[in-house]
Amino acid sequence: MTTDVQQSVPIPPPDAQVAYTACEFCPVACRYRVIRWPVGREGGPAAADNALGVDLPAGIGQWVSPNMHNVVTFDGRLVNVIVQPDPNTDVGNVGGDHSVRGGVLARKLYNPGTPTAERFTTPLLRVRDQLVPISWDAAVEIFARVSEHVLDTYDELAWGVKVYSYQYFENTYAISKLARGMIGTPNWAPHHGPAEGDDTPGLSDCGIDAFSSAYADDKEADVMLLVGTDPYETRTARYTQWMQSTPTVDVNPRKGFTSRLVEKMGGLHLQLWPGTDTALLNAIAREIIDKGWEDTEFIDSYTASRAELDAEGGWRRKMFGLTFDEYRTYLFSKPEFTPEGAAAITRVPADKIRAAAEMLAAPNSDGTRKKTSVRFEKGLYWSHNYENTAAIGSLGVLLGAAGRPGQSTSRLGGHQRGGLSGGSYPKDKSPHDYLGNKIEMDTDRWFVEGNTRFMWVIGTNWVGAMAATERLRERLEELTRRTGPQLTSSNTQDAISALTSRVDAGGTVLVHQELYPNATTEYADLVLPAAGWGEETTARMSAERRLYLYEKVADPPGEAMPDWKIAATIAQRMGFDGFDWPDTNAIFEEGGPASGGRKAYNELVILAQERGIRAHDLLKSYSDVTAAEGSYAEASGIQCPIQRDGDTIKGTERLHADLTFKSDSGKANFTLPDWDAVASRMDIIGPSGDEVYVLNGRVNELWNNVGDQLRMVYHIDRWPANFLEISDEDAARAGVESGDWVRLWSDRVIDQLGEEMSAEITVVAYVTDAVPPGVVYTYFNYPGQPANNLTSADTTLQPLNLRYNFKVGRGKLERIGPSEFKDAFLMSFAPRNLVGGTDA
Amino acid sequence: MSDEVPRGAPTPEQRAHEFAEAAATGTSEQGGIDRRSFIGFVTGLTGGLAAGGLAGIGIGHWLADQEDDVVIATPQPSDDVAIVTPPTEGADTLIFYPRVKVADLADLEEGTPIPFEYPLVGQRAQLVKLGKPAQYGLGADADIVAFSTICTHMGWPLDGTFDPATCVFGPCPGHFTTFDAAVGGQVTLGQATQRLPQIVLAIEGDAIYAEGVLGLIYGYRQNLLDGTPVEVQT
Repeated sequence: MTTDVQQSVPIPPPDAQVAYTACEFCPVACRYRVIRWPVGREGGPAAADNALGVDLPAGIGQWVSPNMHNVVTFDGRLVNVIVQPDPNTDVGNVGGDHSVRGGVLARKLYNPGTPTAERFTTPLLRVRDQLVPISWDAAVEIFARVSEHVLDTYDELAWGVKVYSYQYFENTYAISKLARGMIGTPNWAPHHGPAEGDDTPGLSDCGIDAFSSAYADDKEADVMLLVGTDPYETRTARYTQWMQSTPTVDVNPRKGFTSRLVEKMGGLHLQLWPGTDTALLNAIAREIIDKGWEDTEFIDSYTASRAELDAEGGWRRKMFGLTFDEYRTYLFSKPEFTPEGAAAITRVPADKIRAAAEMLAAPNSDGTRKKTSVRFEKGLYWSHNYENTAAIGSLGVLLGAAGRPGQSTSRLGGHQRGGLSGGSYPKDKSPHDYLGNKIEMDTDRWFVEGNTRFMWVIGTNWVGAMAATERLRERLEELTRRTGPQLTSSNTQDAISALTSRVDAGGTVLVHQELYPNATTEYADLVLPAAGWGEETTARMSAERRLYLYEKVADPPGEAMPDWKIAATIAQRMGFDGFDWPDTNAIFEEGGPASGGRKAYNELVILAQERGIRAHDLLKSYSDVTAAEGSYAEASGIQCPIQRDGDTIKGTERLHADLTFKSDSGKANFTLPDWDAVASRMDIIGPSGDEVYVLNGRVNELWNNVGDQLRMVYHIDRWPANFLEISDEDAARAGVESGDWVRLWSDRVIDQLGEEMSAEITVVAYVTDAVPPGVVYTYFNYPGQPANNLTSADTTLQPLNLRYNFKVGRGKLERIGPSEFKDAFLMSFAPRNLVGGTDA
Repeated sequence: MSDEVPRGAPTPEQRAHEFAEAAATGTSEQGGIDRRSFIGFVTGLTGGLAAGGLAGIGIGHWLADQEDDVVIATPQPSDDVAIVTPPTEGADTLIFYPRVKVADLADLEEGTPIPFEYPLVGQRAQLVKLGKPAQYGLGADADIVAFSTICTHMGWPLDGTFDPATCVFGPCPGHFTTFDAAVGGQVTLGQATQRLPQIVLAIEGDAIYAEGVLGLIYGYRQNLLDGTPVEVQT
């Protein structure tokens, strides 16, 4: 049963205001139009009488569903707001296609008559174990004075920041300008890992940018290699509009929706055993070379020689970079990479490995080369980070999948690209190195060791998002709640005094800046209420580097402020200059010169200055069909890096189009995909005995820490609790049926210090053929049920780049009993991988 | 399409049932409200007024044309209102969900949907006996349900997609959304931003009637507006 039964939706009158924006959630950045008009009026069913411009009933792709509507305040007035997938767009979500995430964006906006009433609306201070309201002035004073005490008494390494990497250029610029530029701390980590740095180092060491592709390449490719992702569920409109029709070799330990559709459409699903990607990709590469199907022309012209590799300045490329001959020698030196050898490791039949190599690389019947593209995401690079990204990058180079229409190698992206550096990361201050080379700081290990005295967490659930999260939570509790004084007064000076005393007693002060409370908030001393999507005008790029302006469409609740404004207020209170921006446009313009590489947009800023207009306004003409005078061709965003083009500017469809690569020589190269390193790591972190692999990731309806979705009645209805995909065989072994509570536990979770600990989560069984026996799958960051309780946090296992093995957890299964969702018509347990036809 | 849609004229039993329901909800003479005054109240409604809020009273086929005149089908002719038999004939706008016979129990074959349109022409729906208990399922096995078959993602037709093995409608031929017919049309996987609207059914004797809709049908601002009411075969 659901209470989400809505019987009508109001229709906007013809004079309703229309603004354009892009989605908050996945990296596709679908285009949305926002229609706004005063509450109390409605338009009519004829096209001439409404702002939708359609006759009702609406046709395909033109409907406004009730969940696309909300009532919010804008400039203090009560307004209807419709957030509708733009039915006229020709980029991204062509024709108004959309996912269920973006489709209910309107319900993200604050309306105190909905679960969004849980938004933080005022700064809060923990006094006598309660979060009590305080003023912004008091909150900023406490933040500034305690920070100064930590910086003066200890050093900047004791002052840490955990922050999203993607929530708009203006916010990330302001926050990093304060933390890295002014304070200069290396104790800085993005939302998705314990350390700053490259997420796909093996690919980077091949010279290829992780976001080099265009969506058009997905469609133009003759064949695609897809690894470690289910794009129907996670980059929906890119999949349905651009990828779906391309014949695909899909590599995934789950047989989810995309894998089954790939097979139905004549492609291959290689259902590998978790963590064996490097062996499988190496075997495919070896088979391609064995048959002579590699792109010899590309390799000869555009990959580096041994002398060029030896001259490289980057230590990783110098250490792991390979020429084609060296790569071939490596692949043919190990029996693990023969089809039969790899089959024994990966559990993918040898014939399928051969078939995959043929599908990806065998010439067309006329002898011409197929256009092959390579796409991957976290299932690949967050199991064995360096080796897996080296393996896929090298395979991309072997296939000539770089820089050309239909031929590119890229991540699909986990979120949009909204990171802009307002101060470079001070790697020289990091306490960590590898083989004499400085690497970024493992901030979680540093914290668990008790070295972080002040922690500022912005826009993420730190506790749930990181590995061995139970240890992180336990240490956070010890260092905030059980060390030194707790506040008994909300008086500002009393608070500063108590918190500095706690710091000096070896404890930590935690500031949480967020939209909603989550597990991290449990330990926050100070809560700063942030504004989110649609509550400020900001800029950001899609996964094909398409830059848009995201217009403000609603007021933030209460006293909530955008993150840039909070950072700027704090910085000014701490006495730093350069934070007196009047608005986000000023930050966007200041950040232009810092927006290098794939994000470079400074040419837009320069052109705006030449024309005497604001850069945001110029960007708006590329983002908003009304600003572009009705031309959708002009209102399709602009792909970075932005280039000068006479008296105007133009975008860059794909990177490496001139076949120069990101290396000192400008050449691409192969990179050692070291299977032995993976195999030895698996001996440490893999399951044994009656343990199963605990995989985790996203699910179609939910997004990241679920802060928004669990305030949307429609999504709570589908996922009232975290689920556990479990095979028939494992379910029978554990005596479990769909709808039963299952205790998923391990006493072999490796924590941040390399020690084993016990942890568990309780989840609802969802019996399915999507996972094989011995493998279960669950949502990665569901509140109260975080799969990361069961993942290893020992970054010394991946010393090159300090990334967690997020996607290869382990645990045991134990039935608890029936949940309230079992046999109660509350939660569908029907298969989630039905593709029609052969299903029935 | 219309030839495939089974429609049934209201039977004497149905009419008796309607009258009994009206009595039970206090909207008839027997229920204590003066019949004439009630009709007068309804007559004052406008076509667009809060029909959803008044739906479910179950009193019968309240209809209004665009001049705000109210017509009503009742067991007893009256000089106060026009009587329409079959109930929706001649009406332009519905203000209540009509009660429309969809099929006889004997017509049902487990797993084989029966198409119909309700409450407006073009609002395609399907009646199906699932073979396992369902949310709001009727019949001895609590498994008789009906759903709109216009996908609530982008309006593609779901006709022909019902999978008896899993009791889902879908995957939609447009973008693959599947809806669980046993769980009130909840999206099992997919991109729709509403459940699949479930048709409210009633069984009287051997006959199955549609008498309401839970949720908004794709394309509409209100299920009873902007279309032509279905008519009952005579």
